[in-house]
Amino acid sequence: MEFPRLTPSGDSLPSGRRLFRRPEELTDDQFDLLAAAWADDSLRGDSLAETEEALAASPERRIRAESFRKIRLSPLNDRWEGRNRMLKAAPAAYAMRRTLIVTLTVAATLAAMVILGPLVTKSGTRSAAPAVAETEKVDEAITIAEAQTMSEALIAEASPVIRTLPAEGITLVKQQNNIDASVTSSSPDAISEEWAGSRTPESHTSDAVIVTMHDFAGELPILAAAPEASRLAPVELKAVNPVEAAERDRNWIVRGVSMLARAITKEPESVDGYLIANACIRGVNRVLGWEMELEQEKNNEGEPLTTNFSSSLLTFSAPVKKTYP
Amino acid sequence: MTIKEYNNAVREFGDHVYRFILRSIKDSHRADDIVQDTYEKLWRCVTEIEYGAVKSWLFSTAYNRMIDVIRKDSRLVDVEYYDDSSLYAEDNGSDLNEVLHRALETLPQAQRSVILLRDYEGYSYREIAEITGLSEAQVKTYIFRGRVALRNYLVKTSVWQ
Repeated sequence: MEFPRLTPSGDSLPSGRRLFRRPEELTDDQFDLLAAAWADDSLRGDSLAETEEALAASPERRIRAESFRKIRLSPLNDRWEGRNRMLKAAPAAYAMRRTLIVTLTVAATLAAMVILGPLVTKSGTRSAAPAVAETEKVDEAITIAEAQTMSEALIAEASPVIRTLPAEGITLVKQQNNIDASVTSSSPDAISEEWAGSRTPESHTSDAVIVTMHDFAGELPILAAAPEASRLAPVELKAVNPVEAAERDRNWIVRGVSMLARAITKEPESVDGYLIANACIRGVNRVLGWEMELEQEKNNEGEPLTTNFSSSLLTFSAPVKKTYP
Repeated sequence: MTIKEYNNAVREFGDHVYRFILRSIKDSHRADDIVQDTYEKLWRCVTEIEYGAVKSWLFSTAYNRMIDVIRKDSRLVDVEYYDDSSLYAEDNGSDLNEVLHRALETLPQAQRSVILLRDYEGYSYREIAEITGLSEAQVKTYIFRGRVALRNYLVKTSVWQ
């Protein structure tokens, strides 16, 4: 089934001929827009051909259109000041920077430990004195006579052992003002007398008296069996090597660093803790821009007296601990 | 995009984006903030963007950020109702480029931005359209109108006879 179709009539626009335009009829504003497009090389095909035709027909318009080619902006000297702030560190550089910070932190901690180590040790020694004095007050209830009687009774019970006690090598150590005084006794009685004598109030005043018994403690059942033995504590007998004792008293960090330094430098001299700490502090100051100071005061003979440390957070002055008499 | 490529993008395109925003918004502090925000955003999605597309991404992001700032400050001047009576003042500058930049400041923001992208960076109309979110026809219209306005500025300020 077919539907009827409309057929266009033969009507035409009567004034159609007058509507046709030529390129010369473009207004200046219209031409400027066209010229701007032409100068921007954005015309293609028929548009470009017609424009070229119009420019060819009018030299004035060509000059006008050519002027648009000169309207081009060039960048001025504008610099972005924040550019460097936006740069990001590569992972390797970041890890290296982080490692450096950790290393410096450890170095600073070590320096602080080296500096504060002797101070802590000294304060610990000072705090031991009152404790010993307190123990002595308790012991004052026991008279010397009672102690001697009790000692004689115990000696009688264990006399065979005590008689075989080797006289040599037993050293009664009295530590007073950090000075070791060794007294070698020839018999257990002498030891008792010496010990009893040292416990008189006149013999020890404000200083701590530390009698140590170490290597021969197992060979002294008199002391082990006595109920008052605990009151004599701390008691330790030992053979004393002054050099070893001095080395043991040194800060373990200093010893470790000294060993490491000796292994590296092949030099027999040990590294001074003050030198290590000062080097660490200078290194931290240089890298982090801090202003910590460490200096050592010395007497006329060149012996160090005090170590002074100052920073924005902590300032102290520590007397130098003299390990060697 | 790697971190190295990101840093290259900062070194290579940082000044370009900055001067585009600076000349568009005419405020150095805001331009600095906008470009920094743009790079912060780039850093957050650094692994998702290819280096080849980073330049147009930077310009597009910075442009949108600038539009947000302008709208927030209610400084946006509608192109359709822009009054160009203030365009033409006496200008005795001798350097044509400097005069053109002074003339540029008298243009509406949209025209200014597309002309800057076209002249400074040499982007095509399609690329400018992608960056600014306008249609290609709009970009052409803004550029041609802008050029005509710049020429009129030069003529009316006696730079061009």
